[in-house]
Amino acid sequence: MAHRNQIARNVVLVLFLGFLLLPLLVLVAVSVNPQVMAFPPRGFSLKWYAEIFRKEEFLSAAYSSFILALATSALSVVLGVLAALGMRKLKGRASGVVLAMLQSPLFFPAVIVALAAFQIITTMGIEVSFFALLMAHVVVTMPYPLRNVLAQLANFDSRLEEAAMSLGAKPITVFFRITLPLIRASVIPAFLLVFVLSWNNYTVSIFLAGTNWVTLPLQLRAYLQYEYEPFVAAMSTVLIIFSAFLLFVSERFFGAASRGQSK
Amino acid sequence: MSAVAHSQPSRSAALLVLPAYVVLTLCFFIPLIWIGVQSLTDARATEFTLSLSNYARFFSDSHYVAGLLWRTVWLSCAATLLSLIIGYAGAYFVTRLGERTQSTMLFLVMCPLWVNLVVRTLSLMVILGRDGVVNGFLVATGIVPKPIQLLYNDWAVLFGMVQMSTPFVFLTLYGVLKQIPNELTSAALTVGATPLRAFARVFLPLSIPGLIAAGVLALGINMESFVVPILLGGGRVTFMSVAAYEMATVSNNLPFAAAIGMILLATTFLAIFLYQWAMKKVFLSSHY
Repeated sequence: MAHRNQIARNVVLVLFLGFLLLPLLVLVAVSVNPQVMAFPPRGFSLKWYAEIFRKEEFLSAAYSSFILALATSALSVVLGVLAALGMRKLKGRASGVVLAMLQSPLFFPAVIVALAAFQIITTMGIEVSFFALLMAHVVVTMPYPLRNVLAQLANFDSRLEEAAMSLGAKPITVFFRITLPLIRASVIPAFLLVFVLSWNNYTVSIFLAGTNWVTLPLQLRAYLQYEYEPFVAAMSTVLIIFSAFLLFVSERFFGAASRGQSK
Repeated sequence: MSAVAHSQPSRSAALLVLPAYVVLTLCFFIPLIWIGVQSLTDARATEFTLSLSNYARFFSDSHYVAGLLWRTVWLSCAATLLSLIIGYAGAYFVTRLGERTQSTMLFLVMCPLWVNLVVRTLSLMVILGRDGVVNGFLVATGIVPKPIQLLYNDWAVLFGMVQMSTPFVFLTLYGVLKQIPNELTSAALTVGATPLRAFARVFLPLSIPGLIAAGVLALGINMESFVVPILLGGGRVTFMSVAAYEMATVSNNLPFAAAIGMILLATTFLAIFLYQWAMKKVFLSSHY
């Protein structure tokens, strides 16, 4: 009886993981095809990986995405950490409303955030730019560092700061020497999470990227419209490995603190 | 309240929250109000007048109501339901594994969440395509004589949406199911309940808060699907979010795009509200 239950459990779990992961594994396998996108692969070649370095537009898109994701994480984490520190001191009924407003981008479809930003920019007659793209990315990601840091601050002993203060430390010293080290376990995973969210974002970017700041997801999708060859699988494999690596780092070094699940 | 607001800690608190607030106000709240207003203007009118013409146009055209809104709603609801079932099964059995295996499983489920949506959707195209795995299997086993068209229809989009929202459902449910003590089900079994009955009367009701949270999350994600309908629908399956995008950027009809956005927003909130209401009504009423 117990044995049968265990078999049932394992069958369900294998099907479940297969459903979620098999498509990605197949995509990785397809990338070694010499000619066409086929599974199982017809032959073995790594030439499509070499191709990545020859495709100027993908290299520059990767650069654009990287700069954007880095700037987004820096700005989003700074704003989120400051807001979280402020929220901690805020008491009373107003604080609930303030928090709800700060987290509101989570409850709105990203497409609405992007649409709203695009429309107001267009109506004002401004060209979409890197700055607009960056700010929209910040809006949709900021709730995550805010939430992560708030959760960490919930079990944070503010007497540590008071002690430092009473010994004559300046507020800025207290922040860098006491507060920041104590919340670091939530700040770094939040930074990684925001980086990944921005690096992968499609919906917001398609509205606001324009032609001069094409990100990698946009470039990949644009390429897919005309070409369907193992190159896209090779490019994807590199991205899958990169994502898995970042997740591993986040989980391995920060564990549960990083388990703020993203939308 | 005012006594607190003027005290020292509250002022520094306000200063800390201020930057985030300014950014959100300028880049989110004002644009959001703006598209609300814009949806009430007429694209053809030369001067500024408020009218419901965009909404009238939307709701009087069956192409928009049946083809666009209804499709978005039914695909999102169906995808949410399926992802709840699959995610529940996964989370239920994962909580029954050893601690170490559980964290490995969590890592594996989180992996796709960190992978680019375009890449994940592409992987489904490879599975469902003409030379894909599914067609290969169907032809090899002789179920169909030659590859069939699996992509570019409602079913492909549905499959994609379920695949995208299941990890979120899993993670939300996992957190809740893990808190339910094993002893409760065992107790029900000891006093003579069948395993199925013990699950339905003891375990399931305790997991309802998780199902509500996971369903709300999945509905939100599915209603705003963008990449999946574009790639797996191949332009043939239109979706509210995609229509808003095309109306704004390709057709350049900003007021109508704003109206589509507003209708999508209202529909999403309504769907989430109805789901929560129905779940509480059915499961959290007195007979449990």
